[in-house]
Amino acid sequence: MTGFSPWLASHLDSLMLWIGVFCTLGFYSVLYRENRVYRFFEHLYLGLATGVLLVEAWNDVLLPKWFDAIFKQGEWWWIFASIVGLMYYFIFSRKLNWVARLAIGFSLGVTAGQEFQAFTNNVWPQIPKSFKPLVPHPALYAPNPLHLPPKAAEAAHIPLLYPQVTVPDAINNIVFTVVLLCVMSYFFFSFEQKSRALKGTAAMGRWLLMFAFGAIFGSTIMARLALLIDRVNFLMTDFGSGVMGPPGPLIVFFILFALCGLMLWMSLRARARGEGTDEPS
Amino acid sequence: MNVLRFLQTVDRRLLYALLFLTVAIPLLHPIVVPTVVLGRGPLGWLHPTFALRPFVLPVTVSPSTLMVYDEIQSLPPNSFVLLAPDWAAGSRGENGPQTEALMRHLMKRHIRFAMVSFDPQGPIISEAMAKRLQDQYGYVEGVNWTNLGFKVDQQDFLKAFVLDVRGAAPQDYNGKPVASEPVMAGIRSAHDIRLVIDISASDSYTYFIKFMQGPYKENLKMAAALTSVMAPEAENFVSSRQLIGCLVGLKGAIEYEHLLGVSGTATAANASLSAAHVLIIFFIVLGNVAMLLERAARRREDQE
Repeated sequence: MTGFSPWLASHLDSLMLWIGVFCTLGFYSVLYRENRVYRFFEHLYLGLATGVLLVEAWNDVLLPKWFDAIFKQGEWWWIFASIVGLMYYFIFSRKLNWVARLAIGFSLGVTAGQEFQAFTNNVWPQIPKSFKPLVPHPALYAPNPLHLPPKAAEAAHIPLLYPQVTVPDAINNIVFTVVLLCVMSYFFFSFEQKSRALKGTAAMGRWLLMFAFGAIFGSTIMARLALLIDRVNFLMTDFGSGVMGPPGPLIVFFILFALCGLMLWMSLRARARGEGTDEPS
Repeated sequence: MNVLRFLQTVDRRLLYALLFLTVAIPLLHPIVVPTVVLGRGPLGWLHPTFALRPFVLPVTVSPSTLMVYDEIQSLPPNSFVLLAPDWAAGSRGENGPQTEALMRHLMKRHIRFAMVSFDPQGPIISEAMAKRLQDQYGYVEGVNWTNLGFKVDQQDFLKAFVLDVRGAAPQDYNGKPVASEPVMAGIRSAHDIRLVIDISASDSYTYFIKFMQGPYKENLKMAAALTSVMAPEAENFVSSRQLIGCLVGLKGAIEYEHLLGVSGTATAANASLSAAHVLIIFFIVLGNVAMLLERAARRREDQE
C-alpha cells in the first residue's frame, strides 16, 4: 500500500495514531448516550475484525494447507475436504438439505467422540486433587528400612509419599472441603431436599456461590478499568507524545478534560429541559 | 435529605468524568508525596529537609503469579516454550502487558519460544510486540523466536501438533519453512516443549489441557495469563495443578513486572488502577450509606 505513495509511507505511523484516536473517542461517545457515531465505529470494528479473520484464515490455513497442496504439490485428495465443506451449503435447499445433515452429522460425531477425551482430561484430575488432607502432619517419605527423619530422607533422595501439611494448610483444606460439599449439596436436584441438614448446607452453598459471583463481578470491574487505562494511556502517551512531542500528554489531557466538561454540560442541559439522555437514539 | 437523594441519583456521567481524572492524572505525572529527611548540617546539627518524592505503590505478588515466574526462572537456557497469544485488540489493556512481561522474562532468560494463536488478531499483535522487544535482549526472529501464525480449529490442530509439530505447522507467519529455522531445532513433538503459556481472553487454555497436556504428556507444564473476567474460572485448574499458575488481568502483569524488576506498561498503570478502585469503592460505600440514612429518615418520618 505504501509502495505507490511516499507521503503515505512517511506518515503511516501518525495516520494510524489519528485513526486510533477517532475510533477510541467514537467508542467512548456511548458514555454520553447511544448515538450514530458510536454505532458507526462499532460496525467498523466488527467489519475490520471479520476482514482480518478472512485474510488470516486464507493466508495461514487455506492457502498453504489446501490451495497450494492441491495446485502446487499435487495432493489432489484435499479436494474431498472442499466437497465436505460445500455440502454444508445444501442447508439452504429444501429438497437436498439432507446432504448438509450428512456433513453436520459427521462433524458432530467427531466432536462428541473428542468430548469424551476432553472431559476426562479436563475434569478427572480435579477429582483426586479435591481429596485434601485435613489433619496436619510432617512430610512422609516412602517406607525405608532405616526410618530416616524428613531431612535425612530428603538428603538420601527417598521419594516423597505425602508432602508436609502445616496447620494453616489443614485449615485451608477444611475450608475448601466445607465449601465444596456445601456448593455440591445445592445442586442435588434429583430429589426433594427435606432433610434439615441438607437444607442448611444447600442454603450455605447458595450464599457461597453468591460470594463467588461477587468476586467474579469485582474482577469484571477490574477488567473494564484496565481497558480504560489502556485507552487513556494510548491517547495521552502513544498519541500525545507521538504526534505532539513532550507537551503532548498534557495537551491531550486538557482536551479530554474539556470533552468531559462538555458531556456533563450537555447532560445537565438535557436534564433541565426534562429530556432523557439514556434512551437509544 | 436532599443531599442523600442527590448522592443516590448522581448523574453517571459525573462518575465517568471523575473516573477519567482518576485514571489520567497518575499517567500524566507520578504521584509525589512530601517527605521529611533528617540530615546533618555543617556543625553536626540534625535538621529536617523537605522533598517531594514519587510515591511507589507497594506490590504484593500473589502465589499464582509467583509460580509462573518461578517455573520460567527454573527453565534451563535454550529450553523451548510455546506461547499462545490468543487475544485480540479488545483485551489489549490486560493481555498486552501480560504478553510483554512474559516475553521479557523469556528473552531475559535466553529461552527459545514459538507463538501460535487461535485468534486471527493474535499473530499480528504479538509479532509486533516481539519485534519491539527483541533488540533489547539480542533476540533474532527465526533464531530465538518464531511466529507460527493463526490456526483454526484449536482442538484438531493441537491433536496433530502434539504428535508432529512441524507437520501441523510447516511454515511460520511469514511463509518460511519452520524446519529450516534454528529456533525449532530438536522440536518435533509435545515431548520437546518444556512449558506452554496461553495468554487469553477466553477459555482457550482448557483446550491445551484437554488435548495437549492430558493424553500425550502428563508432565507438560502449563500456565495461563487471563483477563480478570476469565481468571476466577481458572482457579480450579491452578488448585489441581493442571495449571502451574495464572496471571490475573492487569494486576498479574503488574506483579510480574515487579518480579522482573522492570518498569513497563503494567507498572505505569499501577497507580491509575489502584486510584480507580479506591474511587469506585468510595462511591459504592457513599451510595449505600446514603440509601440507608434516607431509609432511616423516612422511617422516622412515618413514625411521627
